[in-house]
Amino acid sequence: MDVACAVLVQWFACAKGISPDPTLLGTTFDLSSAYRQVGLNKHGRDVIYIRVYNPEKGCMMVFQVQVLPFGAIKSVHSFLRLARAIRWLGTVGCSLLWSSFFDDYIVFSPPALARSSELSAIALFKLLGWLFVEDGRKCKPFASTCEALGVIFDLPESCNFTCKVTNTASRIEEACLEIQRVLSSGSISQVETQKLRGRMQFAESQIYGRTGKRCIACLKDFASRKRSRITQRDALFLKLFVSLLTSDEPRETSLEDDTSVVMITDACYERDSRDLICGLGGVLVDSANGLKLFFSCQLTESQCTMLGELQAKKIIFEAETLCALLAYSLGRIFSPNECAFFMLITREQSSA
Amino acid sequence: MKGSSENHAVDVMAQIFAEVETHVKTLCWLARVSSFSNIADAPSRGDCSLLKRLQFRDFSLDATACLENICTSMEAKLGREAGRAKPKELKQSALQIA
Repeated sequence: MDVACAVLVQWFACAKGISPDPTLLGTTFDLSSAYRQVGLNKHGRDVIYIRVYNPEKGCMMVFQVQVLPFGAIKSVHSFLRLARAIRWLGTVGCSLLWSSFFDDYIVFSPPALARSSELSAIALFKLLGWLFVEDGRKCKPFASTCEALGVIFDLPESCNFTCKVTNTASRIEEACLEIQRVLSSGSISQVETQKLRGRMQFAESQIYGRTGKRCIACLKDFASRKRSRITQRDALFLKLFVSLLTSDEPRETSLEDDTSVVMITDACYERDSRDLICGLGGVLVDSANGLKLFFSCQLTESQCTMLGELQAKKIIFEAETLCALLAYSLGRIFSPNECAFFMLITREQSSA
Repeated sequence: MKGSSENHAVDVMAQIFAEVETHVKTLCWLARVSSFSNIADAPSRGDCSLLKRLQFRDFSLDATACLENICTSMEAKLGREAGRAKPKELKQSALQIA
C-alpha cells in the first residue's frame, strides 16, 4: 500500500511542470492459485508430505506435495522473492507504474497508455509462464476507481495531483459486524481476538491519528488469555473504533510542497528549586511562511499536583509529555497549513 | 509511540494528543532529541535570551492560556485519578518511543 502511494506521489512529482494532465487510471492483476504455480524441486518434494483421512477406505493416506504448500512459513519468503522479481521486471523492463502485495498487482497508467500498460503486463505474465485471472469479478478494466488489498484507490482527482485511499465497504462491514458480535456476546476468546485484532489493524492503517491504535490496545489482555469478559471500558473502545471506521474520511495522497513545521520541546523539573520548579519550553519553525516562535512557561502548584507530584519523586516524564501535547496544540493553531509536522522532544528513555 | 500508558496522567495526555490528531487529520511524527542539542532546553528553564537574539517571537502568553485549557481538560478526564500516579507505575510506563 505504502509503495503504491509512493509510486503515485512520484508520478505526480515527475508530471509536475512537464505534463499538463497527470490523470491516472488503475487496475489490478491477480495471479491464479499463486502458490500452486510454483513447483518444488526434488529436495523440497522429499520433505513435504500431507496426511488426509480417506473416508472411502477408512484410513489415513499420505500425499507428496508437488508445489509450494500454503500455510508453510518458508513458502511466504519463496513466493515473495518471485513476486518481487516479476515486479522488478515490470518496472525496469516494461516501464510499468505498478506495485504488488503477494499475488496482487496494482497497475496505474495515464488514460492514453492504459491499453499499452495492460498489454505489457499481460505479455510479461504470459512470457514468464504465470497464470492470472483473465475473467470474472476480479478482472476489471482500467478505471478511475481501483479496488485492491482491501482499499479503494480513488483516482478522479489525480488530474489535481491527488489520490484518495479508503477502506472498502466490505472490509468496514466485516470489522463492524465482528465487533458488534463480540459486544453482544460480552466475551471473546483468544483465537477470536487474534482474528479481530488483525482485521482492526489492517483497517486502522487508513485512519488518521493514533486513536484507532488506542482502541486496538484494549484487546491486549484477551490476546494473551488474561481474561475473556468484555468490560465497559473495552466496549467503549470497540464502539469508538466502529465510529472511527464508519465516519472515516479517505486518506489523501497528494503532491505537497516540501515545507514542514518543526516543533522542539523540553521540560525541566527541580522540586527543591526556589524559582522555577517545573518549566516547559518550546520552539516552532514553519518553513512555509518563515514563522519562528518560542514559548516559555511554568506549571502552577495545582497543575503539578494533578500530574502526581505529591505521590511521585519527580514528574519530569509527565511534564515532558505535557509539553509535547501543548506544543502540538499550539502548532496546529499557529501553523494550520497542510504540511509535514515533526516534533522533537527531549525525553528520559523510560517514559512516554 | 505506542499511544497509551499505565500512568494515568500520561495516558490521558496521549488520549488528548490522539483526539487532536484525529480532529486535524494529521499524523504527527515524533522523535527524541538530547538536551544538549535541544534549543528548547533554555526556555524550559526560563532563559529566552538566545531565542530573542535570533528574533524568535515570544508566544508564551498563548502557551500559558492553552496549557490551562489542556490541564482543565485533563482534570475532567482524570476525575478522581488526578494526582494518583505512583512511582511504581511510572517505571512501568508503556508509552515509549519505538
